[in-house]
Amino acid sequence: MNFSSVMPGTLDLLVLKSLSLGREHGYGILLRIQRASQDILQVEQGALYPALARLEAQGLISAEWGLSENNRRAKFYELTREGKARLRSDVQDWRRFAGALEQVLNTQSLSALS
Amino acid sequence: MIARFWQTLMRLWQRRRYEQDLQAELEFHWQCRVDDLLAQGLTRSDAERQARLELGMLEIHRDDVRAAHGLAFADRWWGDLCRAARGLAATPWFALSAAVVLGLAIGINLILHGLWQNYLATPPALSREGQLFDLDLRGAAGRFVPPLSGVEIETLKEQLQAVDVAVVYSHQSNQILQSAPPRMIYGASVGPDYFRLLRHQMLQGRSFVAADFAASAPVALISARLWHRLPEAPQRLPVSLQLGGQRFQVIGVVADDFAGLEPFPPQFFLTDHQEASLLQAQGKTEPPRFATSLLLPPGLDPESVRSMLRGWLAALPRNQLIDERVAEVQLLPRTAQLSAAESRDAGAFLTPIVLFTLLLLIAACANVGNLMLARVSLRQQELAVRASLGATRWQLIRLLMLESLLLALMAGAIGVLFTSLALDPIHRYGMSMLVAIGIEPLPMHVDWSLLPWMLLQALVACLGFGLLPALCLTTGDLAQASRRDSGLWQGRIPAARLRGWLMSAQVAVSLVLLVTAALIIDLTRKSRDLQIGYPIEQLVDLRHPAPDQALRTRIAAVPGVLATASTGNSPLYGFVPRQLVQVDGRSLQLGIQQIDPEYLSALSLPILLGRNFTEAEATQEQPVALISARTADLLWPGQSPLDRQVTLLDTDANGLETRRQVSIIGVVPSVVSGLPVSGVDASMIYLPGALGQPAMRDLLVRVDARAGDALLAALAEACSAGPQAQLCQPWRLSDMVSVYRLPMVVASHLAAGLGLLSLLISGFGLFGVIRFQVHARWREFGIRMALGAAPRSVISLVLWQALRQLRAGLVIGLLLCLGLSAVLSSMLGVGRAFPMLAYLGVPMLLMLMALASASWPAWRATRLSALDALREQ
Repeated sequence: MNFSSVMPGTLDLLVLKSLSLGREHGYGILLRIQRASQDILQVEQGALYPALARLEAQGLISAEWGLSENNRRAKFYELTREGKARLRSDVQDWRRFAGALEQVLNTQSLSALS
Repeated sequence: MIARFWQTLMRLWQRRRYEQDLQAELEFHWQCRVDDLLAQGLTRSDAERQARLELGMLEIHRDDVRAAHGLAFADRWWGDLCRAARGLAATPWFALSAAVVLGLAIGINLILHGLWQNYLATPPALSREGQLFDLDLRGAAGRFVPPLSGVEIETLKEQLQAVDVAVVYSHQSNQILQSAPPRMIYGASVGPDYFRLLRHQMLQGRSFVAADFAASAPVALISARLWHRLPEAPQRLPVSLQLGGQRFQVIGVVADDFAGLEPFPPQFFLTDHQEASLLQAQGKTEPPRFATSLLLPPGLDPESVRSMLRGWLAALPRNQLIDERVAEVQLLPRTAQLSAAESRDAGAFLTPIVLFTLLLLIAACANVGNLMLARVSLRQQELAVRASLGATRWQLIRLLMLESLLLALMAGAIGVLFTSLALDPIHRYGMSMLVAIGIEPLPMHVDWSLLPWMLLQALVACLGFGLLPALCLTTGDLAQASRRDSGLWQGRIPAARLRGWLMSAQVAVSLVLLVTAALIIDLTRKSRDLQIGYPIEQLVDLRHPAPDQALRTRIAAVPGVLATASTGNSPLYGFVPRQLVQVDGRSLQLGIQQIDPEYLSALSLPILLGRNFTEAEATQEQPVALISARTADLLWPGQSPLDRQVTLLDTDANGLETRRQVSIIGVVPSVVSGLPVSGVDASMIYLPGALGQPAMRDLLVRVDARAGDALLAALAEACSAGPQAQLCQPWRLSDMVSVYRLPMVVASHLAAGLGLLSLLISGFGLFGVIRFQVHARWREFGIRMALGAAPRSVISLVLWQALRQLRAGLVIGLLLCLGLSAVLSSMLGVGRAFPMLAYLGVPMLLMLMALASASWPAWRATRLSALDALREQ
């Protein structure tokens, strides 16, 4: 299965989740998402930075310049307290949504709806 | 929200660094990806190419990041602002004309606002919580009654003590300061609570304390200005000061800006008791009366205090006197440096000026609106191209409105510059009439509180003249827009017609302003040309508090003195007192003046008929009278007035009527005895009197025509040389006339200034509009010239077009002026308010201005080649 991009509206959730594992720069976040989804989810690389800027403007993540593992100057992002709270609520919402979707997809016959 | 806004501001502030960081972050991403691709076995060039492709359109991502950080909004506005600035810079003549026209009008309004704020908007600062009210006493039918005396205020204080109301009172006092030369200065005598309750700053020494009001030692506070002028200034306090003929010990120096409850900052302050004794020493029998204000504690209802005051006033002894009986008391909130009554008077004075400046602003707005319309008509093609390239209507309106806003800000800046340069000179000039009576208004400066007012005016002007053309222009189709000057709002409003209306409005307003200015100047000129009837340059009013025979002898001995005369009222010194008389059964109000036998010769007034008073008639106040020639014509036209009887009816303070019959013994010429503006006396009865009688309060001195100021100093010295040394301030009647004429002169100069400004605004406006109109016909003129049209015909075409702009405006303006003149002439007398020069001269002036404004665009039109004209399109 191959997605050209993640579902609209879910990129923010994915970024928050990947940052919940620890501070990381933009490219690292991209790799984390791809590895965690076993390369099923393909994030459009350029679209990641507007999402990071949006989350930063909302105060859900904070950014700081530092040195990367290959000794290059990189901008590292970190989850804020508000970001952690948002991640918890978004994960709950997503699971409820996914469960509901699963139930709909598992519906076998009309009698099951009555 | 605030934090987010702050972060956006910081990013804007550090924009370069922000862009560098954004670039560095994307660069880092790209390099990491290149490294990974190299590790997968790609060549460097393939890896770099692949990484670049995966990253996508970098500039779009950058824009998205900027938008997420809230910078796209600022970028959009900044871009529009730059485009608007470029748009204005592309038409510098338009920008300059519009900004100057509007800036001058805003400047005049700012000056007026500054004056209003100084005198009518800032209440005195209090050092205790509460609200200040002015006590306003009125007689029957709203008649003026004298304010409270010191004794009455003492009982008022006792009355109001129970409700914790403080009584603040003062009396404005003009006293002569013994200096070289002696001069009159303006001050105030105050009650004990004045300095206790009004916030003030002492620069040296101390303020008044309760003991100063009880002690008999004369003490005074002076302003810093007066302190620095004293020879003792470098010394320490206390110093002494001779004021009004009495020596005072100065115990403190007050900051210059402290005006207390007075309209202007006083130069000295005395205690109320000292003022009373000073007036007594100067021979004035009446005790001083005080302007009184009440400081009510918070929560106390003014109405309850007012009803208390009604009861208290009803029991006052003053009610036995008709002239002093109080019928109504009011508590008027003190909202300005001027008292409530003074504010009312000042408002009446300022209203015509406000109307004048408002008209000026309207003319300027009409002018700029016209310029804007002319300009947007020329820009229709440009905007159509912008629209075809994808600009929305809102973006076009925003662009045009930003241009208007920039223009309005430029105009505001010019207005502020003009105000800062002109405010103090205009204030000083307007108040110069007060300097003669010792009042020195403080310098005025532009303060930042004027800025919101300026911005408001600029914003209103911007919306007023920018929004309509912007809305009109953007409501059209491209095909229509490609036709120049076709019409606005989808052709419903012909642009040329709208511009014609605005031009008419502007010309009409300018005409009204200029003719009004000409009317005021004409009235001033007539007042200057008025023949007083006696040599005012040679007559000196001694202004001595209590002249007597000994003083007269000393004065007569001064070299250069030709004659002395005494009178009850010095001529030209206020309104002529009026007397109710009965003549042949008719009751009339006639002017009256008491004079001694030397008065007529001192004034070089011949006896036209009959004879002068004798010494005996004067000393015994015998029942004889002289009358002026006009009075003789009024009472007995065509007959001899000699030996006729006139009955003088007097009513004393208790309302008792007395009658006195006098016989006419002579007729003298009619002269100006009252204020110069009142003109020659309509009537005058002269009664005999002699120096030493209580009513004979003034001594006039006839001096040599060649006498200079040295003679005035010698007269002042002769005043103070007697056994009971008293100061006087000799003043030529010609100086007095100048002071009285000064308000008219100031008014005429202000009117002339405003008229000139209006002319300037009209000139700039006409120039801008005609230049644009000529520019709109550039192609036509180019083709005419190419086809062999003579330059003269093109010039006459442009000039005629300029004159046609004025037609409707001149007609409307002249009709308005006729109405204005009719109102003025009903107030001042028929014929005085119709100066032909103004009615012919001002329209001619406006026409000349239009021709002058059109001459340069016309000349440019003759220099056009067909190629240039076509290229211009």
